[in-house]
Amino acid sequence: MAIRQMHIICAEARKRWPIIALACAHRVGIVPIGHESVIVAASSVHRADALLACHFIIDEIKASVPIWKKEIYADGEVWKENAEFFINNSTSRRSGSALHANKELDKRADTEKNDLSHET
Amino acid sequence: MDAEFSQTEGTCGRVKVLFFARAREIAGVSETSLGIDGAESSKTIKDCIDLLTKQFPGLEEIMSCIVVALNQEYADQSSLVKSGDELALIPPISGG
Repeated sequence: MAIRQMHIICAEARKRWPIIALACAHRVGIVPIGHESVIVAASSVHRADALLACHFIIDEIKASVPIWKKEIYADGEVWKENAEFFINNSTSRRSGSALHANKELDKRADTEKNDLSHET
Repeated sequence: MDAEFSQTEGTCGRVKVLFFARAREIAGVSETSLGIDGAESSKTIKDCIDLLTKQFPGLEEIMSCIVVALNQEYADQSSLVKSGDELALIPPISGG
């Protein structure tokens, strides 16, 4: 389901921005401290679109892709919990859709698109 | 022992249940299945959750913050389940 959800997220990013190519990958298994777990890559004619698509994708991964991390310490272990999951699900409980309920991300994406356009 | 909604013998469909992360630790298994009796009224995901909480009482503590996926799509707990469905209990995620 994690891969399926990542495909859904990338498809949504393609709907929102004119992206040439997209890739994202997430490690599973033991990840040493300080090592990366996830990569998102996007290409577009104008950098604003690729940057916004990357931002959207990583935020959506944190909100909706069923992947879990447990941090192991010398004196215990804890399952991490993304704040994005709780934000997403407090709205999605009403709409029934985890992806399309994220109104705050949509608003921020529109604001950032305007900001980046002004820089060009 | 898998849980049942009814004690009726004979052919009865099943819903596969997958446990992840903290839910898996609490349940002690990665999956189980629930019997669905087609002759009775349809069951919802919420009905399945209630049955799972009876079978695995430790799940009670996390049920308020889990979401569910039905056949790999997020679903509301009021959704109906049918024989052959796959239900996943999804505790707060931590990817990215």
